Amino acid sequence: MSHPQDLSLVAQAVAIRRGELDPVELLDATLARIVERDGGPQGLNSIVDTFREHSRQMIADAPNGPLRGVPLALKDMFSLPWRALRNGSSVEVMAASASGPFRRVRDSGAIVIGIANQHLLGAGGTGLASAYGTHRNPWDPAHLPGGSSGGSAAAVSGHLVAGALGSDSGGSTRLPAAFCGVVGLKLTFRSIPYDGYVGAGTLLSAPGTFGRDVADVRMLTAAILQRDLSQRDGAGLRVGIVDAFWDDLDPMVAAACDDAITATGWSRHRIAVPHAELGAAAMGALLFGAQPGPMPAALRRQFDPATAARTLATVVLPAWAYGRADRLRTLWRRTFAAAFADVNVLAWPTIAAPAPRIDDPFATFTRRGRIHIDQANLPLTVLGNITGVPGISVPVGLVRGLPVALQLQGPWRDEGLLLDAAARIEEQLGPLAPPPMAR
Amino acid sequence: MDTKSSPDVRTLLEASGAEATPDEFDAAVAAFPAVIASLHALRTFDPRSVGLEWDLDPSRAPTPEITG
Repeated sequence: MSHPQDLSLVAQAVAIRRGELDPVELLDATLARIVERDGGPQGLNSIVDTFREHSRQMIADAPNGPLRGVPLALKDMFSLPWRALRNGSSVEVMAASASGPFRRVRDSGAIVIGIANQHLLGAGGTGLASAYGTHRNPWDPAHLPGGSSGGSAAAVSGHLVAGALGSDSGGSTRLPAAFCGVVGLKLTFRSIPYDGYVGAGTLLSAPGTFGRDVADVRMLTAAILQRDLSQRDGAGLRVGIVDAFWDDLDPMVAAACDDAITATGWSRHRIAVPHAELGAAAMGALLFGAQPGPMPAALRRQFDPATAARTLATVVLPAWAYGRADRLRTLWRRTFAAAFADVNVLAWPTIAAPAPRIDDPFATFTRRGRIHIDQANLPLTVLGNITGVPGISVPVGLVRGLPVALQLQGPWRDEGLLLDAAARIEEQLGPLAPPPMAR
Repeated sequence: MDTKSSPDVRTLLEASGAEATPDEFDAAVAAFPAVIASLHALRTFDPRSVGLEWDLDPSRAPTPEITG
């Protein structure tokens, strides 16, 4: 074994349980790897705060749970008993506390090794804005890691940690997982305690789990949900295809996702989602309309002036926008519920194009032309947030040397089904090789 | 959204309790049309077309029955 972080999360947990891997040695090796791969001008900058002493204390106090001694990185959206969450800003947004997500990590026996970088306030899918600086994609440091949980995805992809928690209010777990070539699962809305989690203020947000393969995400998700997610057969499923979400994508991305579905042998069934094109607008109205009041000036001023001005302007969002978005939520929740009476999962690409370069966050499409990558990607992920269903992004190959991924969504609380379906894809395609920096 | 509503936007912003300098309020008022434009597509959705009768557009919502 060259480095314990080249082991999977499952392998780390098993080795610790058998006494073959000492958690303190794993902690120290992980901290050294974070320094090695995160530092320097082309470093990933994925984990922005580490806690050697707190982590050691967690090892000493760890219950004999399924993840005993396994180090995890947590997005900056969850308060810790020793650290207020900052949500990618330089401001303490919520006080230090043993947040609900932290308690689930602690009770599994896992160790919080550090805080993962993220897009500022979770308000973007690129990772370009952060008080902690630019973070990078392990597949090519010149490219975006995605966001807003970009640090979590990059740290797992680059073998700095084997598992991480993120959050997903509009795609923020699934999108960076796709860009970085890892598996990312958005939990069902409100499936774990939300106290001390900044996403508690919306009807869209859910924590997410990251791992390098489906087995790792299954183990981490089961531990966080405190639920048995034992693997079942993912063959023979009925998959729903929504044409609107396969339209005007990078043709190589669409082909890779289509081939993945073909490889599973699942039967395809067309599903209509009315007004699917309004997803991003509805998400904006629901997100801003749910604000309890103006964003504090200290936070708003972390943005560039133009974004700060738009953020302030949303304080007077008109009622017609929120009202229509709310009705769309009802429509889509009914649509999804009806769909899941007919098919097991819905499937479409997680991303419209592979990760663009950090200095050029755009992609070009046949019909839409050259548009910002967020404008291309968010329509593919937001309905999962608006309806609250769980979703998983699973890698299906490389396009121009960068990962691409298929997204699966399933019925409320059925994370197990999504994991079984994702495992079927992984079995048929084979796991994605590690990025060059981790080989 | 037409820009002639901008003076009202400023009044509403200032009444919202937002902590902002006059320059920041000016910038927010200037940004407001773009914010509304990004939501404008929602206007194409008529909730009644899919059997959802109620919406929050005061010019179209039915008058609620007040029962005391």
